[in-house]
Amino acid sequence: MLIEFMKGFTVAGRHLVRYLTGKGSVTFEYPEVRREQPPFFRGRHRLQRYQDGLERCVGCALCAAVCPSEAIYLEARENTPDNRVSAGERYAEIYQIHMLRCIFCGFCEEACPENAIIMGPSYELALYKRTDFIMNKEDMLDSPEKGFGDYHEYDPYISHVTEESDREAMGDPWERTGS
Amino acid sequence: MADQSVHPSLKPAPEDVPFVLNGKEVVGKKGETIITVAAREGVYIPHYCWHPSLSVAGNCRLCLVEVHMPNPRADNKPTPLPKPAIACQTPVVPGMHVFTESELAKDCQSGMMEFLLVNHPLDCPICDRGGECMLQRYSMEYGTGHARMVDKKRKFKKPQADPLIDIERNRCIMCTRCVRFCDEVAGEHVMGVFARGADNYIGTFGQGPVSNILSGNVIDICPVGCLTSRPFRFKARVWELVQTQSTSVWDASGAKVTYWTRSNQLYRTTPPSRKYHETYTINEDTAEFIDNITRFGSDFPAHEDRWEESRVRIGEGLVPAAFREAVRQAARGLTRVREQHGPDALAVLVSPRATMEEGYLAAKFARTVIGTGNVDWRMSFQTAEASDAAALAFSHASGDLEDGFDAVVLVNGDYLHQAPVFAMQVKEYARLNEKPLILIGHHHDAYFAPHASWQLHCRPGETAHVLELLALAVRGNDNAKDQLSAITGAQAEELDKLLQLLGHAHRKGLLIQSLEDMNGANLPQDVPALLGLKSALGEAWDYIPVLRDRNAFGLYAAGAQPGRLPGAEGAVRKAWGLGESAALPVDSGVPARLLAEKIEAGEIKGLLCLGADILHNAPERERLVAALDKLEFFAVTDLFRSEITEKADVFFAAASHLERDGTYCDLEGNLARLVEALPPAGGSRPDWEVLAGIAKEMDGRGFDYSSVAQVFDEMIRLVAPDFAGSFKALMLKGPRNDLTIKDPGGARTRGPEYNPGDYRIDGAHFRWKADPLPTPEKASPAPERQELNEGEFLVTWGEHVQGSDYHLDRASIARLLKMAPTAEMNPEDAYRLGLEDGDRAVVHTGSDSIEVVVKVRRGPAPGVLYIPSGLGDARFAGLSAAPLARLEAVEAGKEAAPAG
Amino acid sequence: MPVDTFEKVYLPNIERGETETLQQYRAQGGYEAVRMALDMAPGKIVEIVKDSGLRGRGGAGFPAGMKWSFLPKGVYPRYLTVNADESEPGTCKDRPLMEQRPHALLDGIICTCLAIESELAFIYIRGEYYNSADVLQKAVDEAYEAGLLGADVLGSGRRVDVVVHRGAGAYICGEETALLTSLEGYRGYPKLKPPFPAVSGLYGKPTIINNVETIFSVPLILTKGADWFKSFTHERSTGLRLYSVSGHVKKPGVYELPMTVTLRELIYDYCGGMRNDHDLKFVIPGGSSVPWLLPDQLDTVMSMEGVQEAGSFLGSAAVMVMDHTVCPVWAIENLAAFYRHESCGQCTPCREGSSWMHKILMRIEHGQGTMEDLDTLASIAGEGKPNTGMISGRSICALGDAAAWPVGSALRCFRSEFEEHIKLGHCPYKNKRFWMADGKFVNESFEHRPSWHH
Repeated sequence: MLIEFMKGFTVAGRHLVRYLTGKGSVTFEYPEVRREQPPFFRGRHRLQRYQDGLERCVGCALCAAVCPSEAIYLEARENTPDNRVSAGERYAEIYQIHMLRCIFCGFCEEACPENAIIMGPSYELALYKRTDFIMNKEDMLDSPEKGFGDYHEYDPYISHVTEESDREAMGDPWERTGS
Repeated sequence: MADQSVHPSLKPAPEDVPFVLNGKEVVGKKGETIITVAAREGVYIPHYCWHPSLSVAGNCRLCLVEVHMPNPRADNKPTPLPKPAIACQTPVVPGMHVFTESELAKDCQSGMMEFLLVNHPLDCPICDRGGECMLQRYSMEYGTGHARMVDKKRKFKKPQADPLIDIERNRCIMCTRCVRFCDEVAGEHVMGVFARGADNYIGTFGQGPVSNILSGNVIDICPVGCLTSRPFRFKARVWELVQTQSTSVWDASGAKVTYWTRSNQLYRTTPPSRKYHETYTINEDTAEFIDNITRFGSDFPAHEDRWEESRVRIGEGLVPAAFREAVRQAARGLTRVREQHGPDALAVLVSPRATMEEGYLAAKFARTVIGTGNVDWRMSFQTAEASDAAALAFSHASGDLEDGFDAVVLVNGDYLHQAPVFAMQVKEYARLNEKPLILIGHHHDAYFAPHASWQLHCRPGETAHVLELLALAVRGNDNAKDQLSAITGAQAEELDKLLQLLGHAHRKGLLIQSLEDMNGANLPQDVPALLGLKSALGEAWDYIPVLRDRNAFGLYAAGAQPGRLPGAEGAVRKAWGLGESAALPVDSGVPARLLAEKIEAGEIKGLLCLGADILHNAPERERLVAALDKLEFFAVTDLFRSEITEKADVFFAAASHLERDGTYCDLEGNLARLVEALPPAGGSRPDWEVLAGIAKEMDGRGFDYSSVAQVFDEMIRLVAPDFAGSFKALMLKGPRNDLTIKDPGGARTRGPEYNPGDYRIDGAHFRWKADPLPTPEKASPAPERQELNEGEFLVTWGEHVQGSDYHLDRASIARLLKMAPTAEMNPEDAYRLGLEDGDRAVVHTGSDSIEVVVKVRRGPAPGVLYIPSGLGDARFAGLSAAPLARLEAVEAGKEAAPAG
Repeated sequence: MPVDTFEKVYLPNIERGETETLQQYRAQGGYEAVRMALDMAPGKIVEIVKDSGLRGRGGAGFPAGMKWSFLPKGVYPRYLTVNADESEPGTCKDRPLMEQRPHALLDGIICTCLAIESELAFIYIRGEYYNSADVLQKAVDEAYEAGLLGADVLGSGRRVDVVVHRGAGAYICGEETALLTSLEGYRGYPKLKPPFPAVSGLYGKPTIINNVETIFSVPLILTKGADWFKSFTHERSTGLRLYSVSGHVKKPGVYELPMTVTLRELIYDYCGGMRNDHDLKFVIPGGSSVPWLLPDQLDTVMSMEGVQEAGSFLGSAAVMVMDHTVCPVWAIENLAAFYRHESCGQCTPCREGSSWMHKILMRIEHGQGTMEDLDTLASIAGEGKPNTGMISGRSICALGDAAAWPVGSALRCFRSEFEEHIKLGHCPYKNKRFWMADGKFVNESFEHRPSWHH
């Protein structure tokens, strides 16, 4: 029995030494210090843009279709020459995610054929009003202030897709040439 | 002209062809193709270009199957053909072996899928077809699952040809279904294939629109996302929408539709959808097409003028009121008028778009609660006599297109624009089965003319005379035949052939008559004349009168008109709780057509109108609207705020066709269910609730209904005593089509799966079938012919689905569905005047002048100008006979001559 | 140069201007066959032609007499259509026949019309053959004036009319059913078979379609007899044949020879051998649509059966000879471009397959191919044999086969060179200096070669 006591104290002592020397502590000073997230961490959603500022999302609603908690609602519109929003012919006019419903399963990310929606590293989701949890497109969209593309590309299947090939595949009704 | 030597109905039945399909012995008929027999046997062969309503193109090559033919040189042992054969074109041969799932067949299928995807942009996330696309579906089932194509894909410029149909050529697989649909079914050669090789594409000639009342069907018939609906463009994904199987509110043909809705909004209207595995398809392997008005115009209830609350008049204004309060006010108003002026000072109008249940309740309400026979729906006719003639026509109606026919006679009328789907079905049946089409009258439908075996032209007003002569000639009167030849200009030998054809006693024939022609101005003569012909031809001939009003026949059957009860009088008295001696006004009653007159004369003091469209669409609209001011009490149920509803003392917000249940009857007598696709907007109620409410408030007995099903059950026992089912039974029928359906039904669909044998009411079922009129021994004297000078025409007119309409005007894209006024003329006249199709001209009739686009068709008789009513300013209602008109061509680039 | 032991009958040694007019043709004993045919029963002519073993000279080689006997009995009118839409690359045999001996062709048309009881014949002539159409039209006019054509052929009471119709420049309209749809005024799309044109052809009536050379042979058979025709026989190929030899031989041209000639004799004896005595690389024996032959197959007998045994087809007997300076990848890319351009686009495998193959071949030729491309190409085009690969045998008409066979055979014959293109990253033949046929030394970059694709 004494041996068991000694074992326990050894563990406690080892952690005490580690903590005192500052090496390998398991806690840290949040919020001054933040934990680095693993690359495929599923946090708050982001809507990505192309480098030229056009949205990647074309409003196909596959994310809404696949969402198990039906947290996504969107309405699409057609791009016009005066109002180019996305790279394809259509874009999401309304894009809402109900964060209280979201279960962070990441299916939306997986279903997205355009790599438009990704789940970012942010996990701080505390708000004062329930209605604030319905995030609109503006809340999730990358902007020049927030920077582009500093998140991982969730791309487990189509590794060769480049932005150019993507854009080309989606077609561009105003830049087409006759055959 | 069809080959009359051996009539198809006289040909022997095709022989049985036993052969082996995937190792199973099956039997086909001689002349059938592999794909048809396989579909019947439940073996699905993938296909794009093949469609049962279209000719075989054989260009997608997806239906290639392995065929082993019996080899006569090797003791009839099945020997593989050197090449795979296309199942859509290869006829079945006795003893052949067909393999649809062999290595070779699978290799062909996956190879073709790979080829089709070589230049396909794969923009499924953008494409509106996504989710119901045959390319997606076949890729999953027959494709290779990966792409080897790494080169640049072909790209086309996007045309903006049609305001309703979006053409995205990059997605096209060149199956040419759309081209063949326009050529063969819609009857207009407007689409074609351009360029060649891998660069070929479909388009419209001259970049013009696909101008046809049936053009919207190319959207459904396109197996991929090349042709998509512009109004529905990017509005929603198909898998998000809830489908409700219902019926059209426009088309008297009884077209079945699916309403696709989401969050209290109608997104699109299509022909009935079916489930294929996880995918919904429309129109695959079925010939169910709908007209553009049904497809694009059904969303009118969402118009901004919609009043969603019931209102009552307080002083000058109509103020929103609770439903109960409105009912109380209406009951009070009606009671007051009845007490002061007697029951016959009240009238009930029923919109021809009301359901049978509503018509039935209106009839019951008027006759039992108010005690008057003034209940009617027949407003669109030229005269009261014409509306009586229509009733006569309905009383003899029988027959159904589902039974087919061996010959069809069509009298006058623009059928394609009055009952589009019905016209299409008649033409398609005649065309595909090589049945003779016979057109008689002063205006033939240009849609039928190219397929007509005989065209007997006459002047307006002579139709009855021609029909009488024909009836006499059928009875063997040679003198009548000579007169007929003289009046129609038909060759004697042609007439002999025609009479021989009509005289075949065993032949099943169909007589079709438009009651819309010239708003029925000639109906009092034409209907008896045609019924005389029917009796001369014998029992094998059926008669279908065609009226544009959606539920005209149903309302007639439900007894919502003077002179008709929903059933036998004894049964009606019993059902309505009336004793033998109690008053039951039947024959008395003011026809709706005389309403304005009677109001002006002060004989009608109170009016209950179910659906204001009947007043809006009336020929004498202005007179009626003015007359409404003289009423002491006016209650109306309707959807919209309008100049008529604003005159009401009580306004009931009605539930639209999307928001209520009910039964419609088409012009063949088939019942179809209108199914609630959306909840009623705001405080709106279906009309039967309004009627039942007012009746109860006025102490009427027998109005304790809690659902429309109860009304139906009570009604149908009177209307069709041998109908064994119920309201529910009408819904629960098996799938209609015997082709392709692997997995019918589905969790997200509501409403009935239709069956052609749903339930059919015709004369025989009503038990009020009148005896056929006897053929007169002598024809009535021929009307005198008017001499026409150069440029002078006799004008005929008829209602047109694309014309001005109370409901259509409020559809979201009404602007695109409307047409400019046109005038159809015979090629003879056009040649003489030097006019070509598409030229502009001005028609002067009396004091009016209308600028029209000239259409040169083989429809109107020489010397006759057909101007569809309601297009633009073209309104001819109110004229009693074909007016003389002068036509002046407008040179291109010049303005039309000033009116007068 | 071997001495011919037979009399040339299609193209005797004549100069231009000697045989074009009616007078000149009559002087050579022309229209004798018409007189003979008028005296014979129609069935008898068909019997003679059947007996002669005359086979179609357009490409497929279907026995002409048998085709005529497929006409349904008692169905009139019947039409004769002469396929003068000679657009197969390398083929140039019909043009001299039409331009130099138009009356001999009319002779054949009248005989054939009498044989098949047709009163109206169409000559569907290639749009680019303006001169030929001109010459033919003049000859037709002359024949009408002389009473050879019209309501009363040579006073016999029989009627034969001839209409010369110019095509609009589509290769596919040389396919018989596409020719008919084009003649009817529609888009030149091949029709589904069956029904065959002999049963339901032009305007839905029984129609016989024969090549110019086939029709040309009929009066020869009638006047000289079926036995004379059969005296030049190899297996089931009878009669003399016109070989259009082109490519890298010293004397390209149209050669009239019996079908017992071998490829070696044709190239080295009649055509004088390879230009500059280069090595032979490959031969396309029957117009561009057939699989290629290699030098070790030089002893192939150039009859239908002989070439078929060697793994190719005699087709229209257009022999294209390539020497060792030719890059086979470039050659096949050029041919693929032709088929891509000429595919009518009606059916999927031909429309998509021809353009896809050309895209791959372009990449390989320009050094951007991969080894996977070769497998893809092989699976699309097959092995250069009928009914292999994804196109051959699966298209509506034979153009799909024609596009796939050469590609498949080129890949089979010269796979190592394809691989070399891929490994090198460019065409190994590029910028090489070649001796051209006229002896000049050229240094042309092949980058500027003409292309069908635009």
